Amino acid sequence: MAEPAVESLEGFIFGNAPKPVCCGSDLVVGGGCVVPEINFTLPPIDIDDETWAEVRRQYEEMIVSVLGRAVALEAPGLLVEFETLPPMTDRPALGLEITRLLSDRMAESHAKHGLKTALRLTPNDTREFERPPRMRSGEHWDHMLEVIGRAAEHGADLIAVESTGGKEVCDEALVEADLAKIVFALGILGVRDMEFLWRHIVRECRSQGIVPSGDSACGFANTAMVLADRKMIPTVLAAVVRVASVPRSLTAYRVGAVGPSKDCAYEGPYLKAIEGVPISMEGRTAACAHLSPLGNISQAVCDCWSNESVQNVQSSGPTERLAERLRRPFGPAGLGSETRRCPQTLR
Amino acid sequence: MARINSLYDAVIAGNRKSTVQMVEQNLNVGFDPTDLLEQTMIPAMKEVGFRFSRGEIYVPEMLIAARAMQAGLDLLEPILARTGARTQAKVAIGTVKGDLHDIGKNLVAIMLKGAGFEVEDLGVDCAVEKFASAVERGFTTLCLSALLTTTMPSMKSVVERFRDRPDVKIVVGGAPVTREFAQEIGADAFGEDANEAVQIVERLLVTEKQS
Repeated sequence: MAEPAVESLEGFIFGNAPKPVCCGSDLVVGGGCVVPEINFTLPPIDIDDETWAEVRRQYEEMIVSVLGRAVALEAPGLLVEFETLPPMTDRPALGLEITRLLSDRMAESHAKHGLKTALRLTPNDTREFERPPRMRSGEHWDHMLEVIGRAAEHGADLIAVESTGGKEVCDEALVEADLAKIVFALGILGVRDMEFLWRHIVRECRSQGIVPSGDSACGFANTAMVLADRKMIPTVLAAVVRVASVPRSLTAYRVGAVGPSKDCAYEGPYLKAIEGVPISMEGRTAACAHLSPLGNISQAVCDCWSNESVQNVQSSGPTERLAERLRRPFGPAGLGSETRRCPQTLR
Repeated sequence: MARINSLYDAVIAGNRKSTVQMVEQNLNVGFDPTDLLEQTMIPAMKEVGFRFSRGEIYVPEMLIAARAMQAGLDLLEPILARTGARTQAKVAIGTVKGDLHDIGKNLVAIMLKGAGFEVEDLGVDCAVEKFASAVERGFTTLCLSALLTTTMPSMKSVVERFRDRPDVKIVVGGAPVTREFAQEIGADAFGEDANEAVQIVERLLVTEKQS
């Protein structure tokens, strides 16, 4: 690559990516407006056969509430991320059952209200459950592949992952402030694993006709960011780790991922500038996301704005003013002109 | 015996070479190894912990100090074991079932070792049985770590397992864990950070001795 995909600062703007992505029920990301992305998770609960009915009920409640609110707010579209919890990756049938549940409700909302939606399925990278991690074979790897391989038949539209290749080395290096080891973990171990993993994911997604979206250096650079926020390592080191994480995250796009990037990939602006893919971002205004000054920068160029992973805890109080505020940036002005073709399939 | 300032400073500065040299020198001139440890080296690590808690140093500096301390301990431990002068309290630590995060857990383990405890690191994704096995081997103080809200219930399972064992003390910690949660599940204590975890373990063991 001789030149970055975004050629000038004027073109480096929120809601517009050089290579927009069409997914799900007519949802276009990076094609003219910022798409809200929501990611939710369970309150503390064991996940097993005994609690499964309650787990299902929680997800049902969450998706119905979220879709209802999106319709009420006249959202231009909605990207829903379902990030499985480890037992749902280790037992693929569980993760896929929830995927189906969410997908069915989203399809109903699309049919009834015309809400444009897409479901991003993010299985856990459970390969690190073995210590030392076994990255290319074994039970955990097989389970991950099964979730990814059966994603489309259960209604997923995009696949993402927060992969962990090299994380055990990076974790150690972070608390030792060992820059050489950090660069080795991210630049060598991480990149090699990303290439291996994402070639599989891209192949699987293409065969199922769904979108290989992207990865995140969450386990590396966000760990550094959080450690710095807690005064455990210097902030400058965390900033260096973020930049060092970029080649690793870029690898997914080099082997065929198309975006939108994961919300917790705060390296997103680099990915968008270099590869031109739409990016999802979180932070700053998302109360449950990482508190980082980077939120100010990342929000300026995001294509999806995410709430990070919020727990299903009911809140109360008047929401009209909030609803009114939310209506404005997501107004329909930028809609309607978007092409219906899937630009990513042309790449 | 008064504190040996040069050794104290070497541990705090994380100067492993000087720490080893000074421990050797002091042993050669007849200093009591228990005194060296308890009057100088452990207080030095406590000071490191306090400085970290006050935000004066970062984790890497704390680790360097812990390694210097460990290098000194490596010289002292065989002597202490031979003479039977000091029996170390035993602490087992692990990240609970379903959780793979171990940065915080590792820090607590390092600080506990620095404070002179015998520490067994049970690793990550530890089922109740793993903690039970440690208890059978005499580790009656357990430190449980979790980073995910979804794995916090595993802490409760461990606490419940030892409900009828008042001699087993359980300390919980990790980013989403709170004092209220610790109280709610019936844990013996909550550690806000690595330094507080060490202080709490020390306090629990003193209380245990007195009872």
